[in-house]
Amino acid sequence: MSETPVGVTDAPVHASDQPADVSEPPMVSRPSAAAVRDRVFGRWLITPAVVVIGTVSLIPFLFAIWVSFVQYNLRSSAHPFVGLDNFAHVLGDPIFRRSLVFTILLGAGLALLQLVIGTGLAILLHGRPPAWRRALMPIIVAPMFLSPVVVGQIWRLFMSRGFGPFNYLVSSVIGRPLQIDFLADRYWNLIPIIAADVWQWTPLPFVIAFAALSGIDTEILEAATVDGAGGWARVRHIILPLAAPALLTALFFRFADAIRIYGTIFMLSRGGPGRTTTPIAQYLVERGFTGSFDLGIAGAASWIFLIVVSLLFYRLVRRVVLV
Amino acid sequence: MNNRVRRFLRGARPAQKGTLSVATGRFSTIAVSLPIIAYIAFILLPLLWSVLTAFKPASDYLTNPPTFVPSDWTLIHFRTLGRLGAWKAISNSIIVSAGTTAISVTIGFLAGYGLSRFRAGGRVFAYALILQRLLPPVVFLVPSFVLFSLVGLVDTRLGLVIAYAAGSTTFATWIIASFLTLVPRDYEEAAVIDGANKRQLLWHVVLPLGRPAVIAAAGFAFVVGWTEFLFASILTRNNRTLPALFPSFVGAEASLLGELGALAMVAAVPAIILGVLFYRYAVLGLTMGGVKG
Repeated sequence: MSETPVGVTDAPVHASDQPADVSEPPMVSRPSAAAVRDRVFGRWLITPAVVVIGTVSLIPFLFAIWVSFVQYNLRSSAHPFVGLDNFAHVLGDPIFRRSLVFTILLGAGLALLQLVIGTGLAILLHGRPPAWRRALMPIIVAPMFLSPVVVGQIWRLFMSRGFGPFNYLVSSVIGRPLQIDFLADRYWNLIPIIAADVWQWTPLPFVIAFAALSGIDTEILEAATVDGAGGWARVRHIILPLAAPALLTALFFRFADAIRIYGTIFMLSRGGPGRTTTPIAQYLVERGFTGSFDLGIAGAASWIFLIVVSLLFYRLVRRVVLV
Repeated sequence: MNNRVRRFLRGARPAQKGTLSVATGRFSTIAVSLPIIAYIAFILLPLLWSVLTAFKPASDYLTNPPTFVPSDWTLIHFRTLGRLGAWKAISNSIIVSAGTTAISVTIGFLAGYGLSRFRAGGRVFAYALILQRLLPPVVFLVPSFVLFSLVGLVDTRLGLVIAYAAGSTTFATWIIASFLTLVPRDYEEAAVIDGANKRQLLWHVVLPLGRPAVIAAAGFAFVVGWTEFLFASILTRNNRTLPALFPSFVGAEASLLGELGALAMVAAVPAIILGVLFYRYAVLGLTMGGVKG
């Protein structure tokens, strides 16, 4: 507590010093009463948030349980209970399994790639004069605040065989003509998907890595330099180990977000060809909101995805996340 | 964490100039600079193509080799954005983003203060926030759609604001709570001793103290409303927001390249503002929202 609070020049009473003399002190004299008052105030403060989050998340969450156990589609207006049929249908659907595996592998690959590039960039940029980062930071972070569909649109315009310059640019570099349809050809269409997501999300691990580097005690590095550690040795044996907790956190959060991928892919490959690049979000949308609008099946698929994700997160959450 | 935040707010200066450098000589200075330049080129190149496309006449679209610099700079595509239904989508996006920001910053500020000072809600509330942050929103899509159609919120801007409120409120609460735990309580205690009531305390003391986090939270909430695609594309049909507009033109875009480039530029405005003007707050929000203190 501050000894002379701002604006209190002639205050005769310091509440905590003389509790017995104060009849109606601003600072409550009995700690238990203060604690109670604080707790009540705290509850009032979080009530709106609890209401909003509860209404918008918890109610749909519970409702999703019901939806996934009934038949809910355009074919009938009734919603008969079908038990575990929806779940069985989803688990037996090869498209679901392929989407799930694709989403998790792509998410893990993207998160790792972005962490490596972002960390490397942070280390390199940290070694440059401050003017560099003042000029470049805004450029580096800006793609994060774009819509994934805009990112997809930008890369679509850039890499399309018909109206994009990418084939031409690569042809001029390698010296022979290139005519790859990066939006449709299998395997090749992973390149714009990966490039677009790396383009948009490398800034996240970069920013976290940069913050972690700023927190490293430079005396350690100076001592290492005096002892003859070169640039790579300092990175490998000092910088990376000290930044490791922050980097793992970045990796975890990036993975948690990368498996949400939808808009980017929707703009680039539309999940094709033959659903080879369909992310789980697109599977849910296609089951629930196209064709016969099988919301019951989409609801069951949501639950299965949720369970898989929870299992993946479970061990990481307690180690990595705040609180 | 404390020093890190201060450093960001001061302008992200290095702890000590040059000491973290991995470069040791002139050659390695080039070796350090080149990858940075390559990355910047990777960021700017596709962006530049979209920007140039926005100013090209249609005759430049499908040339071989591709036309990089427009043969005749034109603003026509910005004027014909209406062809894509862009104006309504832009106003929808502004309304939805502003609504999401107002709700989530107000509620998140109160909850963030409660969480940081009184541990309000205890572990349950904190874990609920973490879950809300981590779970993929797509799992809420199906039940939200069914519930929204029951109460008539499908295809309304209010529906989208409500759909976005939970996620952005969670994020706002998290950023503001993380930030306030770094701020000493002295000012609040002084204000209480001075006889400030709760409202004065929140408005005149806590809000100014937490201003950087509030700005960051507001920026992120706006970005959620402005960029979200999945819910916008499912929950609206006639009241599209900007992102939900783009997929309509996939496949039919050969004659609309200029408009699409222009639309992408308009959609990028908040990103540019956040990147250039508020990037320190944005960086603060990202490090607070994602890193254990």
